[in-house]
Amino acid sequence: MEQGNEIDFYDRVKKMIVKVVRLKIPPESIKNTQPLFGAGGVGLDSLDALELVVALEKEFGARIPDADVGRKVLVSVETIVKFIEDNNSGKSPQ
Amino acid sequence: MESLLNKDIRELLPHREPFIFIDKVVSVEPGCIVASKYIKKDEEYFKGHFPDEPLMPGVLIVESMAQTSGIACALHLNEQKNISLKHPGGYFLSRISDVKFKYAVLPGDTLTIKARVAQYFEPFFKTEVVCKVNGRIVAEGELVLTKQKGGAV
Repeated sequence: MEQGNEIDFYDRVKKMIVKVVRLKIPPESIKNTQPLFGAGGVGLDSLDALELVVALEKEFGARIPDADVGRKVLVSVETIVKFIEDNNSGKSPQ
Repeated sequence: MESLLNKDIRELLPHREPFIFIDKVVSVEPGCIVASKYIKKDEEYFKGHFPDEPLMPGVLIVESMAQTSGIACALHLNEQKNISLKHPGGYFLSRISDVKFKYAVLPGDTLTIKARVAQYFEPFFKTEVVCKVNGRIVAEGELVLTKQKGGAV
């Protein structure tokens, strides 16, 4: 069951990123460990971080308190999922 | 908290004429301010926008939204971190989202602009802004302002 939830989180986080940042790529094309920002990454810019912070709290109840935590969490889909698991049960999308 | 009301707007903004698009702060709530701007009949831009049908350009309404948002951001930091409200010069307009212009703003109108800080994630502020004339919404939208590193705040 736990593994099932984990897969679900990865899927949900990818869908959330594509939706809030308005990416024109299929969610499944984002690799779990692919950098979200910078060269070779998904192509997000620093302004997108604000949208992700808002969406993470709204959709998963996982609150990123400040920019220092944000820099560690908003690295890849994998780091975001770990943060959700560590901080929250991952409530259903609203 | 320092008072924003009745302050010279030049103490609250780094902007100077001819690029000040709010006259004064008219009310203050936590993380939220309302500013006003009287649209004079002889505003320079009415000469060209438009000669036979003067109306305030939408981009200048957005500028009034951005200037009001800058003060709301300074208020937010003042409330949260006790940073002085004076000279909040370090904010740049970074994103304009879903701005709608619903009615024309005309010479002689008084535009009121309500800006609320919806989210702060350093160095970004997302604000929700509603503009009204005579109580009717004429424009609304969301902005993102970025606090300049080493800025005046």
